[in-house]
Amino acid sequence: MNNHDDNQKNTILNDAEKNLLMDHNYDGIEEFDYPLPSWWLWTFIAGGFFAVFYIYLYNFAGAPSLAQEYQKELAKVEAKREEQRKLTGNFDAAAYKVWNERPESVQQAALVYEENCLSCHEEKGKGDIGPNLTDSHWLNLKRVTAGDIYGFILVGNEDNGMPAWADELSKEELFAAVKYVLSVHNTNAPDGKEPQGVEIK
Amino acid sequence: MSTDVAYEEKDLESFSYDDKLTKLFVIATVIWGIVALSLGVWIAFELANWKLNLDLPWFTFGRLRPLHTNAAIFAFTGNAIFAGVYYSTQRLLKTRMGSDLLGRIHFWGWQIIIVLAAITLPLGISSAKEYAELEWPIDILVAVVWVIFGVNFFLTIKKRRERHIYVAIWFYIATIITVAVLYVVNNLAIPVSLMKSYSAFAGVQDALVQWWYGHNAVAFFLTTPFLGLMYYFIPKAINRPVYSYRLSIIHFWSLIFVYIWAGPHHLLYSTLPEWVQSVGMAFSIALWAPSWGGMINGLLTLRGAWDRVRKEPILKFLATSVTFYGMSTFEGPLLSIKSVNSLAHFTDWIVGHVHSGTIGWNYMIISGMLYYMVPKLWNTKLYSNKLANMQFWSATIGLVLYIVSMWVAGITQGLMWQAVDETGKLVYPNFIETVVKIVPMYWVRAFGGTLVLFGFILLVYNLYKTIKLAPKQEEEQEFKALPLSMNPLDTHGGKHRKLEGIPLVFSILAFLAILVGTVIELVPSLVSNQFVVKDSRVKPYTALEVAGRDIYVREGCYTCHSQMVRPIVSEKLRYGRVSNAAEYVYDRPFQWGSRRIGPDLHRVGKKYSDMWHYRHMLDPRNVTPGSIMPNYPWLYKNKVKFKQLPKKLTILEALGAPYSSQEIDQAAINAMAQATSMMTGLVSDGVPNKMVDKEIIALIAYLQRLGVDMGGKNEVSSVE
Repeated sequence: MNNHDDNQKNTILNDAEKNLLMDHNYDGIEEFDYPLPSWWLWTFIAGGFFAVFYIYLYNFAGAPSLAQEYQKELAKVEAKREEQRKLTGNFDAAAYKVWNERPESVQQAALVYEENCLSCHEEKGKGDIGPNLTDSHWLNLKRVTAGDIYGFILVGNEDNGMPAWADELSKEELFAAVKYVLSVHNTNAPDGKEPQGVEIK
Repeated sequence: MSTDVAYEEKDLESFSYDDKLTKLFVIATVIWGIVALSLGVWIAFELANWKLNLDLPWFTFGRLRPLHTNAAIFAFTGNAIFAGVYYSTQRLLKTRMGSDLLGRIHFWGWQIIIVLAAITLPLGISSAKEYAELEWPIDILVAVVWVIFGVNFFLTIKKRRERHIYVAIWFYIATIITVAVLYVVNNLAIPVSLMKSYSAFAGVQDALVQWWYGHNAVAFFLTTPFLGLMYYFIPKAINRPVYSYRLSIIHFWSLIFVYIWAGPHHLLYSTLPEWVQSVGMAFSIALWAPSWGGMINGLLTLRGAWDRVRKEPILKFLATSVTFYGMSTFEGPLLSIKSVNSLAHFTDWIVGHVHSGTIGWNYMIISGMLYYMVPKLWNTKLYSNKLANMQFWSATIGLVLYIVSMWVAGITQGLMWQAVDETGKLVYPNFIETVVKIVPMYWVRAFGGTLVLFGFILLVYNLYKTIKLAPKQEEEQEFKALPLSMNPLDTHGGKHRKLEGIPLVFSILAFLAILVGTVIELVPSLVSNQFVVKDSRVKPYTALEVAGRDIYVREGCYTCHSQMVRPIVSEKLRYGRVSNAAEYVYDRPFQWGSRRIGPDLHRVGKKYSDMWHYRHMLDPRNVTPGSIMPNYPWLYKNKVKFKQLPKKLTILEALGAPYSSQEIDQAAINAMAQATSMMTGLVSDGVPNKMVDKEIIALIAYLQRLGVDMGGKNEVSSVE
């Protein structure tokens, strides 16, 4: 019935296989009718049951929603952060002094500045997107002390683009940022950005 | 079976096959295959080295990535599907195709679509919905040509000489029906101009429709037609019967029924209502066995002749393709599990998964098909088995490098994003750290992709030589078979057997099978006003922001940036407040994205100063050392098309954005006023005043608006 001779080369089938052969043929293609592999059938059934069970569990049986799970996780992390805020929230002048005297504090200050501040305040604080840190003019400070700088970095000022760093930086990293700012203060970079804000002597 | 019927020689009808059409599609397949794979390799290198974006708009990743995906799906695999379907359908139904003319219109129509895509996508003419980026006039053309293909196919079924339709034909039927439905619904849009439209759906609804489409483009364009082709080419090439007829039946129906539900697994942890998410995930898990039914039937058909699989290139490609099909259809359900998804989503793991399907399954099976068909179509022998084997190894090694590098990159980056230390802070707060870390994997992937491309070049050369050395074509071969009327319906083979003899009923049932999931998942969202709880604080974009958003869409920013802060603690720490469905009601199209090559942008509004963005778009490395984002110098030269804004706002208003008639009429003036007010700040930072009407200002206006309507980035929302 078909004009293809492919069929005659067909791999020889044994008797068991011949019994399973269906009596149809499409362009020389024949089909067995082997039973479904049992492991496959069980996977198939289990998949169906899982789907029904899962939909029931999450839509009718009160399994926690994404928002609930998120709230739970968030509460855990918030607790940790609250701990941390207690540590960083107020400027600890004594701890700053101790840290500041460590020899590696210079390097740490430069590193924290580079990773977090450089993109806006430019090299050595000469200012770019953010204001020049090397002059004596300030937009957000009343006094130029380690404590005041620390306090401002913590909260930032969303209106003029300075982010709040309280939740980004650890206590030591905040110290490092403060140290760097103080180290470039009044160096008056020759190619620095023009002064902004009020002069503080 | 027709041997049971007594017949005389005079009853036999003569016919021939329209193989010229198949040949055309074969040639188109190899040409577009080279194009699609080369584009993939090029953009892979762009990610490894940003300089390859060349500072030219039409070379940037954001514009070429859509071209790569569309070329790979519609041009390369599309033409391969048509070649294989035209070749096998005629033989399986013992007839010539319904109409030679419709076949030609189909062929040339499809090639015109591809050429139009290749022109418009690099120009940034894009509707920014993944794998559906083509703009509305081309969409219409796609739908028309697809329907022509469908008509020709069903005409062929009508004039068949084989009463019952074989399993390959079942899959072709499901493909033709479903792709038509998917494509038309997802591309519904209102035109603004010849090359710009706004999606008929907004925000969450748009996302749901898009991923119902996106996932089923994988299902009904990259999977079902190829399962059909597998059922033809594997038994033909190995000359063994198909393993199990009853397995064919059960896996066909379960596959098409279940597949259509699985789309929402692309939107887990998004603001899509949770019932849709859990249904999507549940069906994705249930999809595992139906998918593996196809793999088993393929692999067990090859059983008993493994010695030949080792030797013959065609069988090697076919066996490998089915194996990778099995692998990626196991990985898919795995990635749909919520907890796995929270890690893998937005990472390269997904990219690797997609390519284990598209290269492992589609590329491999297409190669096997071509090596089978070309010598038969040109009546000759394959030029070189050795070259074919070389391609096999080159492609396989390249693919393994691709998959493994993307696993490593994806899992590494996913873990880095989520790492929170004991003080409740992100371990890697700077997104760029997580980018720099995986750039070496981008090089490995690009190299792997190159090997896959190299393999395909070998195939093209091999087939070229084969065709070149083929004898001059004789007349079309004549075949003889009994007419359909002498081919009675098999009434003893069970209900399904009977159904196979009535293709019209079969097609209607297949249509109903895909309609169930579609209706249950989509309709409630599309007809209900309650689906997204509105928030009066969320206002439509200003005219300037609309202009900026259209630039965001044009540049394909969504190919690298998401706009969806998921309810996951590390995301809240990194980006700010978790996203809320109400925030997207004016987003046409939605821009949630699927991959974070760069950071999420939903809370970028007001995070940085205008000047930061101004610097950043000019040269991202200026503010983010190590960034792999392209430069966008043309945004500083192109002027905003202010004149188009009233028209754009009119359309958006018609779609539901509450603009007043004053806002619409004065759109251009209002936009200019907003740009002017933005300039005050920028000018003080040294930006020349003449930039006021440039695209960069509109884009910044849009970026600064993102995610701010419901309060600052840390304000508590109803979700929390």
